[in-house]
Amino acid sequence: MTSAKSRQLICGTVLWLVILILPTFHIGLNRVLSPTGITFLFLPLAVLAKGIQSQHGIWLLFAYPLSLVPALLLVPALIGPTVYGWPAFIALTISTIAYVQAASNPQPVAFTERDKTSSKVIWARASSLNIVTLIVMLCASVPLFVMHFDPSVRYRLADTYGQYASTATVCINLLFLCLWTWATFRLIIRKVATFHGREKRQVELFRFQNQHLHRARVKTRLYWSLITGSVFGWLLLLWRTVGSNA
Amino acid sequence: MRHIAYETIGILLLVAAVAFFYFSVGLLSDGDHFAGLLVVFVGFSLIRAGLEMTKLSIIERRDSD
Repeated sequence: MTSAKSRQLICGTVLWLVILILPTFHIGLNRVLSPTGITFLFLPLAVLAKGIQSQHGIWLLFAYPLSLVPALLLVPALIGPTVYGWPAFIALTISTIAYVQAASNPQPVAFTERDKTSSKVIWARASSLNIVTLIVMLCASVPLFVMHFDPSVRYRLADTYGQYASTATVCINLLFLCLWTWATFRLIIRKVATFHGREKRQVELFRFQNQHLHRARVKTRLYWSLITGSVFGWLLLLWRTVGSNA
Repeated sequence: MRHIAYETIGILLLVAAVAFFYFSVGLLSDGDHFAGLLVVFVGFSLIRAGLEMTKLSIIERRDSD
């Protein structure tokens, strides 16, 4: 087994332990002990094994995270407020980031002939991909963190959904995670994952160098992003000023 | 050395985007949905700007090699 596969196995197993197994022991085994519960509990391991064997982004980045969901839907208390305190949430965030890093397996990219032999330069390239993955996952953890720990949000959920508040929290979390995963997979992770195969890597590298690393285009996109952000910022200020005057 | 500055600014922009997402959750939960959406769009713009800054950093490093 290569080091990349070992990393995926370790990180995937830790994520499974943090999301499903430790909460199961916390809330009591008898709440999960049923044929369906046991199947859902161990389903992710089978999907992870298939993903590691096939080394395909779809299995590792989509199927495995989705395979964790049925058990959570069956027993919403697994991600309930009694389970997730600060330490557990931080452990979950760290293990999720570590797994996505391992699963997307960003390969070092060589831009020039010299890069291919210089390990220092190659790892400098890979660090950019690691930073992007890290930030994307941190962005995803912020709303989930607020939903679990902000008293006003918790009060609003309890007020709106009554006794179904914990189920509603699970569904909102899942909806958000699905949308976030879909958006990041389309915009970022897919590009990272395509670095798995050598041919695809060459094609992506060629495209990246010619389209995405064109200085004038990058600068134009940067200026447009800043202008768009400024426009939305001014609209926000205007909205808040008008709202406070009214 | 310019690429280090670009990369630092890029990371700061991405961190700022996280802060904007945090503020947006507060605004949305207070019922100010329009302001919340505007803050989300500011966050997306900052993420985009941060990514372009990191690309500029790569270009600088590539050209200096």
